[in-house]
Order: sequence, then structure tokens, then C-alpha cells
Amino acid sequence: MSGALQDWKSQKKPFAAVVTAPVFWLALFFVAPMAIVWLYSFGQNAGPADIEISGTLDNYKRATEWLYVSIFLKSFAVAALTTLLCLIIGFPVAMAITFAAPKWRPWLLLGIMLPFWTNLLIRTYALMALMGSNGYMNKGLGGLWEGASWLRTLVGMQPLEAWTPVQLLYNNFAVVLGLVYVHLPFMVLPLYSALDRLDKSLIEASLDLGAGHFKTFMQIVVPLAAPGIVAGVMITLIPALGAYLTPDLMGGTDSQMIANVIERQFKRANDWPFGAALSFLLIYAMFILIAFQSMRANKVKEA
Amino acid sequence: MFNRTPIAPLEYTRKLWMRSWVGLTMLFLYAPLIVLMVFSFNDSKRNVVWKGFTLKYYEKALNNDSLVEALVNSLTIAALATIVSLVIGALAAVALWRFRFPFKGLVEGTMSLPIIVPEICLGVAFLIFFAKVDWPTDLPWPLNLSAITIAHITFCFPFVAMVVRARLASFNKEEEEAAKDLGATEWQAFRDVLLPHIRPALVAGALLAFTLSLDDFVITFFTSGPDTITFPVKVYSMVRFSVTPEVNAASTILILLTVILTFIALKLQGVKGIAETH
Amino acid sequence: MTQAQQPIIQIRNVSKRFGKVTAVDNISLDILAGEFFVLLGPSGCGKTTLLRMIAGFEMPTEGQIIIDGQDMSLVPPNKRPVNMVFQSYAVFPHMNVTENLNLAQIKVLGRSVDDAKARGLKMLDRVGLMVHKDKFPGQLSGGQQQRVAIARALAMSPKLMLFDEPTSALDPELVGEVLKVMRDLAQGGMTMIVVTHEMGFAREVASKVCFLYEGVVHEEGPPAQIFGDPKQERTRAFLKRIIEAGRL
Repeated sequence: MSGALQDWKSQKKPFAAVVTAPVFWLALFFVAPMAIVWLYSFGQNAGPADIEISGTLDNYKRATEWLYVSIFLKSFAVAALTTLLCLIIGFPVAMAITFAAPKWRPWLLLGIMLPFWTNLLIRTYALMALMGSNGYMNKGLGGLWEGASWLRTLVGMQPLEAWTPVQLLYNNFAVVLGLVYVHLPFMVLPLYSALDRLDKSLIEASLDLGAGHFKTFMQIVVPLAAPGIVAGVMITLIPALGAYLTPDLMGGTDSQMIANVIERQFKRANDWPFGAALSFLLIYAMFILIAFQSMRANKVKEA
Repeated sequence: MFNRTPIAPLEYTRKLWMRSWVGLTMLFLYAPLIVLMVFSFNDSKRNVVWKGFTLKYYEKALNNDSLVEALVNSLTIAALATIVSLVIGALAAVALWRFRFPFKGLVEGTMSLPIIVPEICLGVAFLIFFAKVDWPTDLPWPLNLSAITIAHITFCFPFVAMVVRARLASFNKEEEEAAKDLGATEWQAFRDVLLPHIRPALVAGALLAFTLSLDDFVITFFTSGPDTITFPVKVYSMVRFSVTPEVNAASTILILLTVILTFIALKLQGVKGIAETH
Repeated sequence: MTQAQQPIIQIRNVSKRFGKVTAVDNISLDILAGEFFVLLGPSGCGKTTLLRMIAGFEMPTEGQIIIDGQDMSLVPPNKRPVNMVFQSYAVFPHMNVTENLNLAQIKVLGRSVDDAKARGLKMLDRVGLMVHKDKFPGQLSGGQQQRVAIARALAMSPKLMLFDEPTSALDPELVGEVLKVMRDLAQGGMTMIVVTHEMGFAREVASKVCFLYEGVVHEEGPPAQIFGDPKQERTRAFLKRIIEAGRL
């Protein structure tokens, strides 16, 4: 594919013209800040505004305390649950878009993408307004409750006691719902692009050979859409694992995720070295996830 | 239509459960936004009952100087970040597409990192970095936005590079060679042959960068000072203190802005083109 | 023959409309067991739509499709005793040749693994691909993949086989091997409905040829008549174009 690559030595001036700015920017405004964080993670507070990089491993040692390990595990569980829900909700949607009539397809895609382009904070806020104790979600539940109560009186039972609004916000449920709400488009788009690439006659061939829709789905569609599923899972899992805003706004005191703990070290707790260590642990966790994925991708390539 | 053709096996989208599923998903995605937009016109402090149409919260929002300032800041940052990201991203894409050079893999890998590294970590990194280098905070507008803008460029330009590089893959190098054969200089060949080819990717990349910048809360939260509030940071603090209809009004303005931008992109590229950039 | 032979496929006043476009317009056809029935016509004439309605991938807007005496117009494809060979082969790329052949036999027909294997290998032998039984589709040429697809359909013991332009995705040098398999099948008595642009092959092997134009049957008859002495102006014009393109 890249047979026509030119060696930089043969065209030094054009090469310098295109490569200098990006490399300079990357080195100064990405690598340098990250390197400082990395160094800080081996440091300790030496004064109110002074950090000494002493090469200590205390910050990492502290991160292995159960309190922090449990928050890491919990963040992972929340992110995994979010990803699973996005996959379950998103797969039929991606299928529907793939097999929609050509004139509808772009509009369905746009329908999925428009929220994706809308400001994250506004979307979170809008969902919160809906879920508040006076919000529509509570009203809907109240309606269902009264319906159930009425049904009970129909069959001669005591009506249920009056509906009291439930607290939908500020708990783990709200965090997962909020993360699903925000990340659903991330899942649908890669699934759609994988399904779109799938040769439809493979599905037809499976039906033609006598398999029903479910068997065809499990034996043909899922294995062949696997790259898209993996891409969707990664693209949802990674940001969900590092989510800050949703648990901060929608979670309760026990819904802290790792990003919230990191933030606290830099603002309220003012323990930058420990925050730096947690940051890098989170980054390493991402790397491990990505390494798993590329190992899997290589395996598929060999087969 | 009473005499409908029966549903063929692959017309999944015509199946009732599938339609309900998509319908409910769309409801889930849009209901909160629509309720928010509708109630921004509601003449009531408490958000749930419709009390009549009013524009007073728009008036309030537009008279709220700090909110307007935050919006202006956000748009300024987004515009600046888009321009610089576009230049750096396009250059990076061309460099990686065109040349073989030492440590290319390293450069390529490092450039994809800002996309992968969690926002919170990037935010923290910029907080420490700007504190460490004593970045001046008392500059006049718009220079006081420089720290935030720099941070935004760092996470925007790799996206631009990705989009442009995908487009470059379909470039026929013989066109460029033909141009040079006809006597064009390196620069002329770039300007007249390569640039027109990547223009759609530049438009897509610009829109992506603009939206990413406008959308960003976490990284800005860590890099903004007391005088450099952006719109998301402002909304965040308003939401934290109390939910007011003003926030609804301001949010509606921003949602409409997003919709308008998306439709401009649509006009320029078609839905398919947009879908492919993601 | 003591009584008139019952057609294996009866197409009764079938129409198919996609929105405002009429792809198939009130077609009626009978196809007898053992026939090699070729559908001809310019692209967009409705021949593929007709074939896909027989397979069950499209539902007719009006009319009936009767297969072996039963009205199957609305029966889903997995419940029909017909099997299709696709233009794009549709061999499952994540399974090797043997798995492609066996899976449906075991899961759908409920054959034992040994029975399925035996029958699968027999069919593979019939299309001359025994040596490739453990390969994946990606390791085979287009012609070989198409022959695997034919063997896979045969293994399901269909009453009728449908071929949707089985050679048009192939490189010219690979067309012959697929046509040879189809010719052998026809000689073995398999009922086949074939959409193809291989005129020479159709002329030689077909028992009946049907020329479609704009969703309507324009001319139907034995190949000698359709190719040698077409009655309709449109058929003549179509054949002339094909001859000029060097396909006859």
C-alpha cells in the first residue's frame, strides 16, 4: 500500500516543512506535560506549593490500598455494565439502520449522530432534569404505579398506597443510565459500519440453507461483525472507564469513579503526586485493554 | 396503504419489534433534550408544569454577562483551536502519508495518544504543566485564553490528522507527479493538486475539531482560571448551584447551534461523508 | 406418461413493486421437474427479483408462487425446499469448506455428524474440490468458492436449485469450471432456474429459455427457437447487443 513512500533524506525541505510543527507541538504540549505528571507520581509534597521528585514509590503503594483498589474495580464494573447495555441496546439499532430502506438510512444515522455532536454537559443536564424527583420519569413511574393500584382494585384487592416520588438521581443506577445515554452513539456507529460492510447475501445464504433468524444471527452475523463489536466495545469502555462528569453530577457519595478520585487529589485534597500516580495507573489500564484488543486482532489476522 | 407487500426476510427495519426498539432508543436519546428545549420557554420557575410561553429566560440568559462572556470565550477558543488544529493536523497527515523517516512509528503512536488518554489525565497534565512553567494568567483577552486553547489544540489535531490521512489514502500520486512533470514546484503541486483533494477531509476535520473544543468540559475545567470561564464550565457551576430555567435557555441556544453546524456539514458533505469520519 | 406432469414451480400472476417501480409485472410461468430453465433479459428486467421471490428473499406484492403443489408465496426462505447459488458466492468466510458444507445439514436437517460429513464430501467430490476440504474460503479462487457454494446447496438435497448470475463475479478463466459443474448437474436431472449472461452455455444446456423485458415475459420457448429464430423485436435487439459484446 505504501510502496510510494519517499525517504525524508531525498526531500529534506518539504519534509522539514510538514513535520516540524506537529512534532514540536506534540513534544512541547503533550509529551512534556505527560512526562511531568509521570515524574510527579514519584514525588512527594515538600511544602504548600512545592513538590519534590524524590523517586519514592509511596504514591503507588498507597494506590494499592483497598479503598482505591475497590474504586478501580468499581469503575471497571460500571464501565463494563455500561458497555454491555450499550451493546444490547445498540445492536438492534445498528441492524435496523443497516437494513433500512436507502432513503431512510441517512436520517436514522443522523438521528444517532446528532446527540453525539451535542454538548456532553447539556445532555447530562437534560437527562438529570428528566430524572429529578419532579421530573417526567418520576411522573411516568407514578402513572404506572397508579395504574397498578387501579388494577388491584379491579380484582378486589386493596389499592396500593399513594405514589411517593423515588430518588432516581444520585445513585449508581443514575450513573450507569447516564453513561449509557452519553455513550450509546459511540457503540452504534462502529457496529453499523461493520454490519454495512457485511455481504448481505451471506445472511440470505444462511436463511436459504434453512437457518432461522436467531441461528443466522448467532452463527453468521455476530462472528462476521466481530471486528465492529470489538471496536464498539473499546470505544465505549475506554471513555466510560475514565468518565468524570456523569458520576460527578449524577452519582451519589458512593458512586465515585476513578476520575473523581483523581480530580479530588488536584483540587480539594491537594495531593498532586498521589493524583499523578492514579492518573498513570488509569492510563496503564487503558494500555492493557488496548493491548488485549490488538493481540486479538493479530490472532484473527493469522487465522 | 391497505395492500402492503408482506415483509421480506431481510427487511428487519419493517418488523414491529425492531421499529419499536429503534423508536424507544430515539425517544431515550431525544426526550431529555426536547423536554429541556420546550421548558426553556416555560413561564415557571419549577420545571415540570407548563405555565405558558415566555422568552424571559432567554432575555435573562442574554443579559447574564458572565454567561454571554463564557459563550464568547467558548466560541473564540473553538475557532482558534480549529484553525491551528487544521494546519498542524493536515501537516502531520501529509508527513505520515508521504515520508519514510526514522522513529516514524514512535511519532505515529504518540500522536494517537491524546485520543486514547482519558480526558481527566490530560486535564491533570495541563494543570501541572501550566503551573510548572508559570504560564501567565493575567493577560488581556483573548490572550488569557491561550492555555485552554493550547490544551484544546493538543486533543483536536490528532483527530484532524486521522480524518485527513484517511482521505489521503485515496489520493492518486500520479496526479501530483503529473503536475510536477508539467513544471509545478513542490509548493504549487501541494496547493493546486493535493489541497483540493483533501478539502472534504479538511471540512470534516474542522467541524470535528470545533465540536470537540466546544464540547470539552473536563480538560477546560483543569486549565481555566477564574477569569477564563467557558460555556460548559459556566453551565457546570450553574447546575451545581441550582437548576434554573436560564440554563435551559442557554443550553437550547447551544443545541440549536450544534444542529445548525451539523446541517451545514450535511450540506457540504452529505450524511454518508459525516458518518465515515467517525 | 399417463397424465400431464405436475410442474414443480407454478408462478401465478406474480407482481412485485418497489414503491412506484414495478419490477415484475403479472408474470405466470410453469417450470417442470428436471428442467434447466434460463431467465434472460437486460439488467433491471426483473429476472433477479423473480428468482429472489422463488427463493423467498422478496415477497410478491400480488400473485402466488406454488412450489411442489404448495402455495409458498409468503413462506420464509428457510422453510422452502429450494436452494440458491449467489453471484457473490456467499460462502461463509469464517468457516472452512467442510464446516460450510456440514453446518446446515446438522443444525437444520438434523443429520448426524457422520452422515453430514459423508454427504458433504460426496458433494465436494462431485464439484471436484475434495483436496480443498480443510481450506478457508479466503484461500480459494472465486471459481472454487462458487463450486463450494453449489456443493453446499446440493448437500441440502433441494428439490430445486436457483442460480443468480453465478459466473458474473468471476474472472473469465474461472467461468468454465463453474459452468461444467452446472452442466453435470443438469445432466443428473436436477431442476434448475438460472439467471445468466452466458448465452452460449444457455443455448447448449437449457431446456427452456424465457426472455424478460421490463418485468414482463416477452418470449418463452426452447433455446433453439429463442436464439435461432426470435419472434419478438426486443429479443432480437437484446441478442444482437449480446453478440456484439462477444458473449455468444
